[in-house]
Amino acid sequence: MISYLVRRTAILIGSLFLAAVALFVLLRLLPGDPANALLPVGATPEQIEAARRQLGTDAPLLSQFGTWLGHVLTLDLGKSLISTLPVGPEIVTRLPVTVPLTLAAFLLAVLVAVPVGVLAAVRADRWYGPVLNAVAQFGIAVPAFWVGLLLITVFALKLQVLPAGGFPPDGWAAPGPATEALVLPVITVALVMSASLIRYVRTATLDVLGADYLRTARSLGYTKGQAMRRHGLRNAAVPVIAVLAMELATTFLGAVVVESVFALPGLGGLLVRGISQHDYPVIQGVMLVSTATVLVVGFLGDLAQRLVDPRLRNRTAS
Amino acid sequence: MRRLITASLAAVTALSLVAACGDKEDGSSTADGAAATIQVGSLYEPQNLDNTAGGGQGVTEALNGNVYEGLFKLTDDGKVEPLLAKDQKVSEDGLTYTFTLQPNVKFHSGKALTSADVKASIEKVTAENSKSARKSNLEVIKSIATPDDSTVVVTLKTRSISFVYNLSYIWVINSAATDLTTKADGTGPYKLGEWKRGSTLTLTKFDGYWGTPAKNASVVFHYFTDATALNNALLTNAVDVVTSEQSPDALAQFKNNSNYKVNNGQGTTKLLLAFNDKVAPFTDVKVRQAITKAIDKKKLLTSIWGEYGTVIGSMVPPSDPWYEDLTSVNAYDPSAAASIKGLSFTLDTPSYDPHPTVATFIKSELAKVGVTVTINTISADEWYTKVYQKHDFTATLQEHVNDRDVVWYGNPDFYWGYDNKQVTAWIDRAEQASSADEQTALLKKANEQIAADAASDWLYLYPQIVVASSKLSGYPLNGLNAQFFAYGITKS
Amino acid sequence: MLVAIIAGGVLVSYFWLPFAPDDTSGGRLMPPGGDHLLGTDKLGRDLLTQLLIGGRIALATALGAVAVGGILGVSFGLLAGFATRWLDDAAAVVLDILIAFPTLLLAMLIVAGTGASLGTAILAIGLAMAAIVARLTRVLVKQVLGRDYITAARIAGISWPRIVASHVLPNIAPVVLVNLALQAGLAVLAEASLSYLGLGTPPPNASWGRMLYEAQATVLTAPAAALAPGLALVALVIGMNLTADGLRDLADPRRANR
Repeated sequence: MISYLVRRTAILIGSLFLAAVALFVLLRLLPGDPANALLPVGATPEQIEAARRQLGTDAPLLSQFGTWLGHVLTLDLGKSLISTLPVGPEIVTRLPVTVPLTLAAFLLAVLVAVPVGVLAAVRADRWYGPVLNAVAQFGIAVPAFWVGLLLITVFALKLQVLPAGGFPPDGWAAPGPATEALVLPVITVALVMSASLIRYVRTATLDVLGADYLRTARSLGYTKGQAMRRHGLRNAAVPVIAVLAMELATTFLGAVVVESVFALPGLGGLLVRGISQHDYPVIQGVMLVSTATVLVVGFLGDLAQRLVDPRLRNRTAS
Repeated sequence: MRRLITASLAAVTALSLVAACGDKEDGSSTADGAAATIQVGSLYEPQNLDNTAGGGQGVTEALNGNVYEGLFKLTDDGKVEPLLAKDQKVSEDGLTYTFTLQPNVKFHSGKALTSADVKASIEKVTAENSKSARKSNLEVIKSIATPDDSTVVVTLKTRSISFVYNLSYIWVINSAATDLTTKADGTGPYKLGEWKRGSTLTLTKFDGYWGTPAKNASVVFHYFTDATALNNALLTNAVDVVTSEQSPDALAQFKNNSNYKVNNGQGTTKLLLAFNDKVAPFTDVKVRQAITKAIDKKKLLTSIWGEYGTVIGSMVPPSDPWYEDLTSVNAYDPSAAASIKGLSFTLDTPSYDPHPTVATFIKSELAKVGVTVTINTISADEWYTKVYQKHDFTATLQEHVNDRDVVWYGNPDFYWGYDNKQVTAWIDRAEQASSADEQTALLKKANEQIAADAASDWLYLYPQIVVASSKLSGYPLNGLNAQFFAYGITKS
Repeated sequence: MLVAIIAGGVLVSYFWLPFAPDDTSGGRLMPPGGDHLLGTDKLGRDLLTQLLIGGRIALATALGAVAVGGILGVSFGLLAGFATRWLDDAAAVVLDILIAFPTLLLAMLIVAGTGASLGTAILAIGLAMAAIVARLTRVLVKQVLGRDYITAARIAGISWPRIVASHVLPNIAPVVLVNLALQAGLAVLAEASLSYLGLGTPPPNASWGRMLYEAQATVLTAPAAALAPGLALVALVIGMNLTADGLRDLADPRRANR
């Protein structure tokens, strides 16, 4: 286990470094000159040169990368080209929207998907098993922004019970309005997410149901439910945990789009604006934070999977 | 298993109950009159708070006249009035301006306003690293002197009839203030409260204001990136007023609703089909005229804006003193376009609304007279490099937002490449005119000429639509150059 | 079935459309019924026509992205599957990182640089898909290579290229194909999201995501425009997912009985 931990940590660090390189290179390879963002209408070639110098985009790529990485390691993500404000604090002010949104949606999705998925598998022979499956099938195919649009139309515009978008100026200092503002976005993300999760849980449960040890347990006189609780759930959990880590990342992704549907001041909004303005430091900062989060969650997911499944503990990573 | 399901269902229900019980807090009814907070919805969040560091139109909207003031102000109906300048004297030759400042003016930080602040503020705009749109207008300044604390003397290199007008864009800032990108220190009726980037910007009433105090206690600007989200906020009472409607289709839901008022003000934003007058086929005046005649601009305007907006037939909007109706010049007449049958050209189209829709319309209009248009969609960034800097285009679409910007047709190096010596001379003489009448007469002549030459095809003038809750009054209707004076707004 | 219906509709659209795509003769925002089965948009264009053209874009995205993702993913996955020791670790790490960039973010980045177009969107989605396919292929190849018949084939002196062609590919093909069918549905969704954010197929082309974006301003006054493209999108993706399920049942009859 210890050697696995060391090895997995090394891979994590390597991944983070490679991700940083990839981000930097990808962004610099893209056309479109960030200096344009700094220039007034009718800029002269001299002004353009001056803007490049000011940004440091006239230096060789390698030295630009070195400078950037050095700053990142000291948690300095640079300054926005457009607003000239530091990116790090900007990202931090966005977290109180994106983090609760992602976690709440994730939690809600798991709370819905696990029981429904298990039920769809265990009761595949009753009428509601296939129905639940069909509903999940539908959920997978629905784009998140469309769900958001429909929810806004019904709950905000028609019934007027929830805000259509935005976040209160006082943030979480006003817990009531802040919670209200997140209800529809959370439901939107969770609905779409739980659909695919239900399918995973169902498949995992079906696999376990067909397994020999469960049949053995039942032949020993356990009821189906007892057999499931004693042996099935733990086994079904293994593949589901792996998927959960991936899904948490997907939730963040869903949040990017959903934030723009609901006009929420989160990381997604920051990223979309950064992209449309060619604001490299902002794009790099947000992407770096989100990629790192995804990698770390994946790392934790792998560890959790090992803890749950003793058979994996002694194997090396494949 | 069943217990688990019940638990999770309970969690979901609880969540929706929280939602239902969390009674709609209708911010608009909590406080009225002088204690009211005005919730303003806008699509234009400032990039930063410094209008000489690329703050964008959002910074003008939120801070101009509210937090910062100039020596003069441009009123909502386009007049230039004294503000921090109590008095002005102009020398015989029109080169020396002497301004006397209002007494007892204090910055929000408590410091008293002096002539040194005014000088520093003007120099901040003309400085090397300034990104102010007014920088080139102020190059005419030769020197600024401050004989005493309440007097500023500006000497010009040449006469400049629009000098005072240009001064209305120059904020007077405390010369000792630092970090103007996130903080502010002006003399206006509001001081800056908190700015939550990506979300809201709050202004609170300044008690030490020298002039008529604001009629409300505070103003919160709520920023949206999407017009629909903004309209939804108004529909759900999350905001009281929308500064500038960009989504005409949504207006139907406000128009027939007595809770809202739709105000149709005077805009200054013109949508242009800009030809590159220096490349074939648009070097030929006749081709430009024929294309102009082949596009039914009334129908286009109706498609995009329904019943709103105006067709003006030239570059000058009605709020400029030299406006005249030129819609009869090169008016819609597809039969006159027979000469250009078989022509084809590429239209560089910015990828954001409304340009792609307009390009589609132009394509189908010109197809009717046998002209083939290829639509080339480009990003705003590409437009800036390819069209604006390199002049590498045949025809393009673009919005021109400012008032008094017909003068660009006097610059042969501008991106559209219109080069008419006579027009250039008129526009130069207009700037050095000794009276407003003379300036107006000259610019009218220039405007008539560019219209006759079909220098560009001016498709339409955008409407300036402010939609507000019917409880609100005293808000600006025209929002010239994106200004939004909030101090007169009251809520009943 | 659903896929067939939509593909059929799209095929028909190449020969016949209710109205010309640029025909702006209809009234502004007309309700469904009469000449225009689904009504018109704000330029007076027929919505059914737009919907069919949007179907072309959706199918093009699915096919294009699957082609890009399939070819690149399987090739890289095969190579990685044969790699050993540190090279294997490196391949695994690279794939993990690529997967850590969610499809949509990757596509947004590429689109930001090169400008929004259908080609860019397909390429970006295809690239992101390639990483997932490659990871799957790698694992499958490893499994197959561990089998006895591969060892037997090696001992019999059969060359690696022939082993790949006659043993490895046929064995991994069913699972990879099922995965590609699932990915096709996701690709359609991703393109719609990109277009919705204004980063996909640029107007005037009627991508379904774009149509939904434009329709949301008038959702109260013209709901048909906000419902039709959404339903079409859902139908196509469900169709693709069901196809994937069907393929899986064919490939693995043991599951089909459940």
